[in-house]
Amino acid sequence: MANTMIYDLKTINILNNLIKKYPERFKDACNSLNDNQQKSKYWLVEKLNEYKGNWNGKDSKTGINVSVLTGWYGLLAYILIDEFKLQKINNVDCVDYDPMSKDVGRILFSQLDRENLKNGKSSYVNYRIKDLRKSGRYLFKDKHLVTLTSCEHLEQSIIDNNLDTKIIPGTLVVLQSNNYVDCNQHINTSESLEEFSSRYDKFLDNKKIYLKSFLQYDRYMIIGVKK
Amino acid sequence: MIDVYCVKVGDKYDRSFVEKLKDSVSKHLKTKHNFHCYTDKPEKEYDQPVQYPYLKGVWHKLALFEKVGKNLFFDLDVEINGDIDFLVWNHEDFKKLHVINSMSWVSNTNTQSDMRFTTRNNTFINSSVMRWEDSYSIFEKFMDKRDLYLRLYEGIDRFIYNERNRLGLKYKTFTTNKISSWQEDVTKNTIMIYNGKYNDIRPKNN
Repeated sequence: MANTMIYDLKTINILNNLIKKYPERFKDACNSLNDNQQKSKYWLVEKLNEYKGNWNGKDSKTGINVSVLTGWYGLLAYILIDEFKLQKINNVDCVDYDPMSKDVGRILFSQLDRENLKNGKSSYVNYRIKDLRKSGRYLFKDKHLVTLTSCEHLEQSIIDNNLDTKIIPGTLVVLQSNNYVDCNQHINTSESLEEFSSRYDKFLDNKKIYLKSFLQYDRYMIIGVKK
Repeated sequence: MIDVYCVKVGDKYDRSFVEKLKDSVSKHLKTKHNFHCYTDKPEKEYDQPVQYPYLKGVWHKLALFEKVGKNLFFDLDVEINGDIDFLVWNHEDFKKLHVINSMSWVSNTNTQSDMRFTTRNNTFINSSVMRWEDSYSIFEKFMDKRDLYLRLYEGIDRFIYNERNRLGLKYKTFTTNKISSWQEDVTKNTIMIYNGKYNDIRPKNN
């Protein structure tokens, strides 16, 4: 008898649990983990690990706090816990206005939580049900790293307002967008990496910009420090 | 006075569908009314430009709920074959949003299990024909978390049906036998709806 099984039983249990408790979110949860989602999130952490600029948490002796904005069910939060090398992460907020993001996320990543705890990694993702249009500066209090990977989904004024008045100077900021206009959720795509980057000249210092091509579109990324 | 709306966005239906619907409404609705086409390409005097250009396809139908007053809506592929004044006789009927009950054909044509129905966020209502007076709150609630609902639902029928309890969306279904879908194996009724398949089902009528 083979030692390994074709399907990982732990994953099957998670999916089973998810479809039992939240069948109406099953498809969406699977989409949140799809190939493009994973590639763009791992790409983010890979480039973040290469960042050389100065930011508030760079020399922290006690670790940093992270806020993942529009974090969906938590994929990026968990990848950061696993792969981020510049600093030790103390805690991660996964911020989303979907009231079910926490319930679904807790199931999706329950196994990872257990393994992270066992391996002594910071594992606790703090799901916060917040609307970026309405939340105040407290959302970014004590945060050293803030990510927003769905700029194409948000009105520019919301992004600008959060960058301008809420995020603390010195915070390391990562933004992603794309030029994929044919998706009905995308209301604020960018024409090019340069055009995307220029929107944030007034808010970010020491910007590094990146482009990654996918089958149907290009994804853009900026890493910089809040002025 | 009744306001009658249709929505024409994108290229799926050409202008002839609007003209045909306008003529049908004019012929079969004796009650005084104004016909409007809510469109991304206004060209006629009865056209009204879409107010939220970033919305796509069927989602513009929800923006019609900004319009308060005695309103009727028909999809462009709806066929009207007889008197439709029954839709507007009773002014009380406008008080709540009315949509079509699609249970008969959804449960007939799809031998889908409850689980499949739920995982697909399917629906037992259809918005090819609507009647309302003030349903602004439905649009308002949609816009509050637009990005989430666009992610979860393929169209407004699924949004209204699946969020009815969570968001307290109020609607009723028409209680008439004068509206049928081609999916019920009915070939002719006062109002026939084609569920976006008109070009496949009735090509010779184009």
